[in-house]
Amino acid sequence: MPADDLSPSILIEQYVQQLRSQWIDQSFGDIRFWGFAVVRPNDQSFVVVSVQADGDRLDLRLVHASRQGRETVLSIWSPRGLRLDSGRLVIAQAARLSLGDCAAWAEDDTHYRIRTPRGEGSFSMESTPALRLGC
Amino acid sequence: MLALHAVSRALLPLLVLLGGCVSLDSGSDDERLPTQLAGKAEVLASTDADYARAVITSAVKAAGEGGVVEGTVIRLKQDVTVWRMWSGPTKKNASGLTNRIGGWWAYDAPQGTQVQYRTAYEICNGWNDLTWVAKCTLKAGAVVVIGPGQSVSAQTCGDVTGVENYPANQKDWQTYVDKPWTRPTELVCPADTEDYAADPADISKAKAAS
Repeated sequence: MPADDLSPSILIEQYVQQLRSQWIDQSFGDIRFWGFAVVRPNDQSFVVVSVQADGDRLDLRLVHASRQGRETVLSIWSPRGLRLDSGRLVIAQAARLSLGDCAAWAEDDTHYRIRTPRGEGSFSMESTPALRLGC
Repeated sequence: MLALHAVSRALLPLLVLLGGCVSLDSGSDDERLPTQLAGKAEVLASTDADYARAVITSAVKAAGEGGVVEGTVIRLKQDVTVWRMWSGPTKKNASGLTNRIGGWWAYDAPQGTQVQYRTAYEICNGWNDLTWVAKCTLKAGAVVVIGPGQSVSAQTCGDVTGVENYPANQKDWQTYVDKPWTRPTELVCPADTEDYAADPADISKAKAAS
C-alpha cells in the first residue's frame, strides 16, 4: 500500500519514525512555507532535536545550530508526501504550518495564506511543496 | 589584459551561443575580485581542499530567493573588516537569541539610509530590522563566498501587499560566512557594546541619544 494511502495516524507515526531515524541533528538554514521564507535563508541555522505526533499534527522541536537559546516548535497539520534527500526535508502537502509568530495554511487547491507580524494575505502555490527545510 | 577581459565579457553571449560553456576564470585573482578585496584575498578553485568549507551551495540561490546570484569562493590573505546590520540587543527571536551574528555580511561599510541598505542587500523587513551595526574582522585564512546579491520576491518576503521585493544587485556584493558561530577564529567580533544603533537617515552614523 503506498505510504500516502495509509490512515492519517499510521502515516504520521511512520513520518515520526522516519524523521527520528534520519533527521535528528540535521542542520538547515532555509525554512519555506510554500514560497514564503520564514527566516533569511542561511543567515541562521537550526537542527531538529525531537519529533512528536499529536493526532494529525507533526511537531518538530528545533534549536539553533549553536545549541544556544530555547527550543521552538515547527508544527505541520495533516502532512502528506514526506521526502528526505540530500540534506533536504520536503513535505508536499499540509493543511497548516506554524513556527513562532508565522503561520501558513492551504486556502484552496491553488492558494495558500500566511499570517506574520506584518500582516495576512494569500499567494499562489505555484507547485511548490508546503514545507521545505534545507540549505 | 583588462581590455581583453572586457572584450571577453562583451563577446560572452556570442561565445556561449557558438561554443557552449565559456569560463572567464582565467584572469588573475585581482581581476576576478572586487576592488575592495584586490590583493587581500585569493580565489579558490573547486579543487582546493578549503573550497568546500565555504559551502557555496548555501549562498547561491535562484532568482527571487535571496542569497547571491553567483558565488566566488575566496580565502583571505589578510584581515578584512566586515559589517553587519542587525535588530539590536533587545530584539530576540523565538529561540530567545538576537541576530547579531549570522551568515550574511558586507565588506563595505554601511552608508546611505536604512531603506537604501535594505534594497542594496535585498533584506526583507521580516528578516531583520537593520537598526544596529556590528563591525567585525574576517581573519586571514578565512574561507567565505562573495557575490552579487540575488533578487528577492514579495512571496519570499511574505509581503501580502506584493510591494516588498528587491532586484538583484551587481554593485553591492554580499559576503557569506557559513555558520559563523562555529568559526570563532575566522570571524572575530568585539563585545556588542562596541556596536551602534544606526541613524535610519544615515546608517554610517549612530542615532542621536533620545
